[in-house]
Amino acid sequence: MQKKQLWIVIRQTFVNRLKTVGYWMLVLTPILILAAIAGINFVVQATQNNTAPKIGVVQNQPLVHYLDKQQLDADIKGYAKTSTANKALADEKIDAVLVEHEQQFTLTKRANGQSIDQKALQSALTQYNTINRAKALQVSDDTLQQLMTPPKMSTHIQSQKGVNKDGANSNAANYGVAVALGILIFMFLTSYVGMIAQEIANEKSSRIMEILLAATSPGVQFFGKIGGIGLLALLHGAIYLILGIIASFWLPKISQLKGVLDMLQGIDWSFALMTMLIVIVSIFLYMVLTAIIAAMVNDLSQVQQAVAPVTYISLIGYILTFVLNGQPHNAFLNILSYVPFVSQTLMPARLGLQYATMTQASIALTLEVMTLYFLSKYGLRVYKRNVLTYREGNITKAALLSLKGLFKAH
Amino acid sequence: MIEINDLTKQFGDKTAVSHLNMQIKPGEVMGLIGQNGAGKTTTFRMILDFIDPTSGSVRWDGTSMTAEKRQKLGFLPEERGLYQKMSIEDQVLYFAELHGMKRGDARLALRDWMKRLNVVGKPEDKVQSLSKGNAQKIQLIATVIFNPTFLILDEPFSGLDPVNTELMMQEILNLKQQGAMIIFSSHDMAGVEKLSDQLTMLRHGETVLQGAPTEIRESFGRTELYLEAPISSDTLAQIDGVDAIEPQGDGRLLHLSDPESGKTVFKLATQAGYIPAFAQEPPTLDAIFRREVAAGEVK
Repeated sequence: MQKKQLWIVIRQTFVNRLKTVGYWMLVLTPILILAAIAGINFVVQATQNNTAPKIGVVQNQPLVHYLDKQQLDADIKGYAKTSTANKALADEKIDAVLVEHEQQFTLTKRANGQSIDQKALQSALTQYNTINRAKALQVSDDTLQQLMTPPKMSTHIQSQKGVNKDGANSNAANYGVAVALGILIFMFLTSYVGMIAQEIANEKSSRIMEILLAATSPGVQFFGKIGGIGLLALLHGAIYLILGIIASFWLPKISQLKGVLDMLQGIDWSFALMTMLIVIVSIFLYMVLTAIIAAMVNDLSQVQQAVAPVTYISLIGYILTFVLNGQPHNAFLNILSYVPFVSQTLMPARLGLQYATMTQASIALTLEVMTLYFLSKYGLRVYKRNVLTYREGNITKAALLSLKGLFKAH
Repeated sequence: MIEINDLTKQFGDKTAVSHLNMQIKPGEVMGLIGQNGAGKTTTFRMILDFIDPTSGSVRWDGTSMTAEKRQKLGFLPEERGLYQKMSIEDQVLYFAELHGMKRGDARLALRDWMKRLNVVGKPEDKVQSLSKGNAQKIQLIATVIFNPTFLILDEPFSGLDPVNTELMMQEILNLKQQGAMIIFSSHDMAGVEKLSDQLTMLRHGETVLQGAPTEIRESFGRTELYLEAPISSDTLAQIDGVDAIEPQGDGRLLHLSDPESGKTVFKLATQAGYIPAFAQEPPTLDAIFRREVAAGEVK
């Protein structure tokens, strides 16, 4: 019977929220923001003047030929006189004038001209000088070719799993995903923590809770609410996953996003699975904590006060993710990556950077599950104690009173 | 049967309910009266197992509250609570399902109840669009739609107009006739007297009166006498046992210290023959309530 009631509460919480505009705003807003950014980017690129800059080279036909052969993304035009080139610049026929004097180059750009990739130009001019000097020293073409060819370097990462041939790519992908997940997890946690607090506080302050508890038990209400909101969070995640899979089929057609896909292809799937498990358990962990605190609220005006400390805790892991890179042996960060409530962002980030092994991540996950079990067990007592108690004063007082006698046998 | 045995609740050094005893049999209504803070809501909370008693017990058919029994328990709290943004149907069906009723059955029953209670609105309407009276009717429907075996009503008539109070009373009587055990609290003494088979009056947590309303009233003696007769108040005041005389409607109300003095009043008043009204009755519940409250304040 309790199972049936539990399912009714889960379904009611889930369906009710699913019908609200607020939930769909929460799900769709990030997608709409991304779409808006992509749209703006597309419009900017579409309306951009893509004509290549025109560079006038004065009295140096070999340089004109050389630069023309390089992939400079610029039109090179030779001028016999400096004055002619300057006039063309003034008449806005060209964007810059390049003059060589004793192997020193001067580039005069028009203020309102097309932008020129100066790094590429600098590199081309360096090579041009090198070739000229080599020729002066009578170096053969083959030798010159050998001298000019840059050495190849591939990165191999020696991790505890063994050697990963595509180490750099995978590492970057996993860390990128871990950081992106950190942002996503923080967004998820704050949203769903607020939602469950609102649910419980609303029922308590409007006295609906009394009617519900006359029919069911505090346990049914406690786990039913968490289950319902948890399902909404899982649905939210599933929607993003499905949209991600759909997008991956047509994203390659968009040249600008090809780089993102290339990076994502480097993801280690065992890492993805472990991260997903850690994140899901952490969402439930945060919801249980919030449900316990929300039961102490007297009216809706206290919800923010109740939710704030929970949000601050989730902020710790979020911020530390960004300082993790380059600190594989930081004992403080390593220990924190095992601590439930913080581990959901730190451990995936460490795992992504291969600072931690899958075994270590499993330990963090186990600790999370154990904490979830004990927090639910003892938290239910606190919830039961508070959910029908209306105290004057702030909720800090209620929290302290609740902690008193928490571990008393019931 | 509900049996409350020696039920006591203390909050720190304050006793909210002290050694309360009562029984409610199937088809019986228990009225619980008392001032605000007398211990009525605390009693309900202990019956509902929301709070543990300091001592004593509440038994329902010989056992304590179980999940199965909760399904047959209807509770109307003093402070009404409904989901304002939900439709009438959605929330009544939710409460009904929690009490083990099938959605389809509850949907049909809701339409029937809305008709019987003259609720203005459709099942699809949101609660926030209802008037206070109609919202209260929906609250009652949500409490009783599953035909509870045991019904706890905390101030069921507060905020209702006389017509709706009458409607609500009729439905409570219907449930009683169907065999439900009912306990309710109210400040409307006429309503309490009309509905209750038994009543309990609490004062500062102590039980000061308990029994059938007529028995309680009779226990105070027939000390209220309404009289319409051609006799002067001075004459009446000189009769032994007449404590006070006050005008009431077309006649006068005499407060007697000795019911036997009614006979003397009758003899003198009818000396000249026919009189339009002579009614010697026990004090009303309202008067008894006021008297007991005043006695408590003197203490």
